[in-house]
Amino acid sequence: MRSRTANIFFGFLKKSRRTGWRGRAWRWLEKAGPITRSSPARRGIQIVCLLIFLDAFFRVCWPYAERFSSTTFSDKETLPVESFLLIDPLVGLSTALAGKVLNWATLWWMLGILAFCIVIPRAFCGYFCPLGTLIDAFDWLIGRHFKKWHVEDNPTDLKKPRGWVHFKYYLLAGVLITSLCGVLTSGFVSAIPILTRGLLFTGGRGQIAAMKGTNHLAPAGPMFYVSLGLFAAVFLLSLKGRRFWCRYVCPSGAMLSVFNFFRVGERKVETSCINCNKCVEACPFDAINEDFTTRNNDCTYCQSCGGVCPTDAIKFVTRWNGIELKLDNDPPVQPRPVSRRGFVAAGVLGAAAAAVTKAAQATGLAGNKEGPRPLRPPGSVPESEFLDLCIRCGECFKVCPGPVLHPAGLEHGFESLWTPVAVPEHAGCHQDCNFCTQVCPTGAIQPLDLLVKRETHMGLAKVNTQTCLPFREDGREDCDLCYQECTQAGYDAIEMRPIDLPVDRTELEMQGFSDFEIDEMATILAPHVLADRCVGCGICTYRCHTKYVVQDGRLEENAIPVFAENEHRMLTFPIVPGELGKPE
Amino acid sequence: MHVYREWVARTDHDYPPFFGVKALASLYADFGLFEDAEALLQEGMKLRPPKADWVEMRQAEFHDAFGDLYVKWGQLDKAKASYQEAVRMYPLGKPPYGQHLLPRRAKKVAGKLRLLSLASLEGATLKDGTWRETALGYSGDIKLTVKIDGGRIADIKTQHQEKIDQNACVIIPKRIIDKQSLQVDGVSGATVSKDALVAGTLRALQQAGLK
Repeated sequence: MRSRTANIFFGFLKKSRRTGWRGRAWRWLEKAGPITRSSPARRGIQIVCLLIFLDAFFRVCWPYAERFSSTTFSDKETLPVESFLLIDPLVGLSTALAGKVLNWATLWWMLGILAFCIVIPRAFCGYFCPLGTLIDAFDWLIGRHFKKWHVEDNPTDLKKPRGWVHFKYYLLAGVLITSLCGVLTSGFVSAIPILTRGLLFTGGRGQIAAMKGTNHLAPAGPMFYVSLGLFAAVFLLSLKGRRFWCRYVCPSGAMLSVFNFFRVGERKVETSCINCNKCVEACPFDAINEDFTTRNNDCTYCQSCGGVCPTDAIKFVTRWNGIELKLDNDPPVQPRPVSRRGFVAAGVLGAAAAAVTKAAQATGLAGNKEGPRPLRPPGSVPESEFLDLCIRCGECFKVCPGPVLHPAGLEHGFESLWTPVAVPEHAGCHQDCNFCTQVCPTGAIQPLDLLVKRETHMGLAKVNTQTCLPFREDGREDCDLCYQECTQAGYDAIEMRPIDLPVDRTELEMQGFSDFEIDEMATILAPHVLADRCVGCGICTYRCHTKYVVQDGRLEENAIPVFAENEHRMLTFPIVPGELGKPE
Repeated sequence: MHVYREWVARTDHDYPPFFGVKALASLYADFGLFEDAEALLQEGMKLRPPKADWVEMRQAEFHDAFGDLYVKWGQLDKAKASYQEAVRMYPLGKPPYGQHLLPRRAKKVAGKLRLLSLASLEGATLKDGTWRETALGYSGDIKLTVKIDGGRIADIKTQHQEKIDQNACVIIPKRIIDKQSLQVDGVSGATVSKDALVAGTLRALQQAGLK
């Protein structure tokens, strides 16, 4: 009897069995290419995962509804929209290292996926990762037409002078070392954050432009194009080989590769192997040695090789299964070892990058330290922890109605790149919305109950008495837009207080004005912000800005900007608003 | 009435009797003496305050008074023209005190104008056809396409860029069509959008022959 296997490729490979529905399915799958044909179940799981991801990103995270309310988002959310970020193992590990915080919500997911990937090695890459699936799609649509550029002829072979084949491990080491030094860089290179950010800057913007209007888009700065470039590069690498990014660059994949040392499942080759090389051609992950045995750290258990094997020699079993195995090292194998030099270089580079960033933070060289500090979303942890926890995935931007939150460029320094910054000129933080606090995968923005969010201070609005219409000397005019907005939103943080204006009462009386009219001339109501009630939502700013800067052009800039002061920044937020305490 | 008449007739005023003239004209109008009131106000227009700073404001006040008179007289076209002149003049005023009140006053007159327009929708004859207008909403232009069919408002289509409009851009046009009136209830949380929709529809109806 054959050993118990976990093969999921279809058993309709022999010509004699290609009749009836099996035959039809075979011919249909034939069109989709050899990898899909050999294990359609895996393709199915990939497509389902991709659809779940895209649905979460584009439908669930679309924050507009016919009647906007506090449940606009939660009504649509069945799976947590940040699921795929949570199961990116590097996200959990690097934020835990950088922030020195044990965020169990994230760590449980990380441990879960690692445990799963011990049973089915690198299943994340082969089955779940939506970026991997998209790269597969790119390979199928575009990459396969550039075969002549591919480097697929066993690049891991020592005979070929290719030091970069283990680049992903060096990258992983560098990322982890910078994280240990307290600087989070995984957001720039980790698989799912790259995907969510890239999608945000492409499809996300497209969705806003198409469904709401182009005036809802934030202007694109240079760093926007850098992010786009990173995203494009991930795909363009595929011109050099199938899933090139996943095989050689992706540090999340590298982490799973490392954990493959503890694997339970394994691909094994039996003696019936006829050395036909079909499996090597089919393997999208370059995980098969010259002797057709498995390069276990790279195998994603995608089972494509099993599907193309003409003699059914490949089986997916536990690693301790040793029945009828093919001889190793026939033909001989000379794998390229992981280079110690590479690790040292990555470690030194990572530590140096971390040191430079830290030093820059300390001395204020990086970015505009003198200028206004960034306005963070409500529920943000203290700034230094925030920078260590924020993975720059962009979920909060996507789910923000308005949007209020925008990715920072370099205006707050390199360490704040692509972190969320509230831009009240672009929209005010809606009083019935706590969506951004619900989607953060790493706890940089703590989950807030709506009642708590309404009292969480993210900043403080200040009236510019030089330009505010009731305050200004020149062209003084009634205006209470900010007051109206604040009252309607239910904050009541702006009061209209009378200011005395100079009048010559005797002259006015002589001219026949009544006392009431003279009083009217002698006072005007002007807005005053109550610092203990103002949460810094910026609804007032937005109204002032759209009315007087954008529509009328009367003011150069709005007269009631919000500053990052008087904030509630703490590591954990209370469940009831009464326990919030005084803002800093 | 005679007290005011004597007061206005006196010639030894320290300051021209602006208030008296307007009050008397208003009284005349209340008693149906529209021609007298008009003549009095025309006299009043010629009065000049001693300080030139006050001229425009006083003129605007008289245009406003003319508007009130013509409304009582039933001459809505003339009333509208006078109000429009007042709205135009108020912001031009340069009084040394209370300059901040001028936009407030202009707004008040604009309110009267709007009431006039709204009132005139009843019994108005609208030309059939499709009329396009844009109105300034909360965060950009709202494009309106108003369809008149059989003298009634048949359909209002909106294209808007409001960020969160609480669906006002659907609800308000529906209310306007249902009531065949521009005096409709607002949608809470979307006052600005509602005002823009009503103002834009009004302008579209004016294209369709509403006076």
